[in-house]
Amino acid sequence: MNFQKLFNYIFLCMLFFQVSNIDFAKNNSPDLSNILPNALKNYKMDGEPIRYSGDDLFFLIDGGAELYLEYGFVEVISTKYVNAESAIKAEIYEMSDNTAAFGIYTSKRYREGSPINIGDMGSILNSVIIFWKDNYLVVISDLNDSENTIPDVKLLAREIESNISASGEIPEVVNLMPPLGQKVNSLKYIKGMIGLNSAYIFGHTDFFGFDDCVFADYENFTLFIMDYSSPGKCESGFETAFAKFSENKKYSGFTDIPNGKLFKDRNGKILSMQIVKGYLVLTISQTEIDQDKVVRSVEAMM
Amino acid sequence: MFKSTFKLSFIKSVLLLILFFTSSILSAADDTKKNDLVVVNGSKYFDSTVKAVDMLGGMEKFVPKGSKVGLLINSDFEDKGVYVNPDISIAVIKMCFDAGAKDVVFIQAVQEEYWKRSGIYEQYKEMIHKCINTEANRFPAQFDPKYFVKTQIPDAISLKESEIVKVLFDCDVFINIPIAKHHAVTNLTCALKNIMGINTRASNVHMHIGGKTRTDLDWFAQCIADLHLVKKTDLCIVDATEFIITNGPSGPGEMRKLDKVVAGTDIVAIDAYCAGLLDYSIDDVLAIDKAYKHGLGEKDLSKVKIVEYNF
Repeated sequence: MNFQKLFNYIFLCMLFFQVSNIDFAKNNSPDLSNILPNALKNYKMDGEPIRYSGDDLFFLIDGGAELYLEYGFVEVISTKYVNAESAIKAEIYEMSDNTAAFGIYTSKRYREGSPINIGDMGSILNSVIIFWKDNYLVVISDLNDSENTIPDVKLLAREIESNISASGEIPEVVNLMPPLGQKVNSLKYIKGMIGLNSAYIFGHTDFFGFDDCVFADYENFTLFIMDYSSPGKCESGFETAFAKFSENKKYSGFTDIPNGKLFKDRNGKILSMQIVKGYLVLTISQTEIDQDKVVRSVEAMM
Repeated sequence: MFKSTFKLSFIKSVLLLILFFTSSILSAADDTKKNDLVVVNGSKYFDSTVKAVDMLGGMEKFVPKGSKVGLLINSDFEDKGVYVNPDISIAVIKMCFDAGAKDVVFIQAVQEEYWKRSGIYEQYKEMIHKCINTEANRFPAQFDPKYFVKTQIPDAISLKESEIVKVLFDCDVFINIPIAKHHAVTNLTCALKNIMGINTRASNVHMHIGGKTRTDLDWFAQCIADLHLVKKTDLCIVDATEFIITNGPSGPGEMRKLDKVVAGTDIVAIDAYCAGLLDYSIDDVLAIDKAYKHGLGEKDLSKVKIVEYNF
């Protein structure tokens, strides 16, 4: 065996292992149709499930597909289970990773929802159950919103959950949110401007430039923690954001605070923006709050 | 002498009277030029809708006898507060037929389930079934030259061409019936954005992602305003009774119940007003300014005559 042949042999072996690894990785992630039960108690599936991937999500969701795509959407499967009295809809969204699935879950769950022990974090309101697990967001809803169907909605949710073996991990930045005083189900983990604008409309372009961000409502303020890949990028995000706010007539009364700025919007809301240990910490409140206390509570979580 | 003085003062009086009446007529004419917008508050949405249209002069003002009326109803969702309350749509259909409309057409297909969500469905079932449902324009509508036409929009800034449902152009009267609600991308979806219901899905996707960047909100808002150049809205009736303020446009989301039906002919003023109902400023909804710049209406609500009625 000469050198060239040996090289080709090694190269082919490497290629084989590479391909095997890809297949193995794929098999780790179950096909969406295998997660969906074929039938449910006295219900039957209403025709073939609908599947969309990538930008084709726009053909399933009549508005709002951008939010899924902003998080990192891979594929969705949607179907209805029907009998003479009821119709239950099941949607399973496969997202690009755990964080994307967790994020879209936090954006889609109801504020008034109650926790239910399904998935990594299940929430139920009336006859709608939303949960996330591994890379998946699952939404089960009774289309007639009937109380009688709730046990069947729960049953379907549990069957789907049992078909997803892996659990998901909550993104690190989420653990920086102080739990004390945080309003139930108000926490949202976001990855871009569309998610950010669901809390407060900062603008129409993505000028913060964060990698990911978490926000939640507290008694008298909303707290945002923006995460950057480096302290330098955080400083740059701060500077760009401050420049945008300064030139926007919506904002006024800029004053300096430690490592940051305090200002008001035209509705009288008070905004503070500070750099805290490489994170951009932002608060919005209707009345003056103790900024130092907020920063200290965030620092305590770091 | 007395006679000539009398004559002179008589002529003066007549002239003054003519001047007074002329100015009154002119000011009245000016008044009708104002972008009137009516808001009816009440929990009986059918009655509120009828009252709102009456306050605008009645449906006869908009629907000539024997005309074909196109209704664009935001109906294609399943959660409450995400679609137009069907009682409002039923009230509009009834008023159109009562005014003498020959045909009432749903420009975008409306599913039977939608009507069944109304408590007055059985009472008006026959009337609803008299309407023409544009099945070809059902989400996600695909281009079929039999039902859609590629339409050039010469004065458009971004959306130069769109695939538009043909039936829209056959209608003598176009009534836009949106719900005011949250939208993750445009913040508000109401009268302006509802126009996307005249398009194929492919055209709508182009509006969503055809800009310079992946999420080009400026482009999207401009496209929305451009699309209104295709056909002027003759009347707009907005469901602001109960609507989502988060997780829009498809929901489910947090609800706000205001029990308002908003109506008018100025879609820009309507969106400017409804933006406030969701705590947004006019600047938060980019399409409002774009539509204003196209001359589609007034965005400054201080220049709009808003009349409220409480049941």
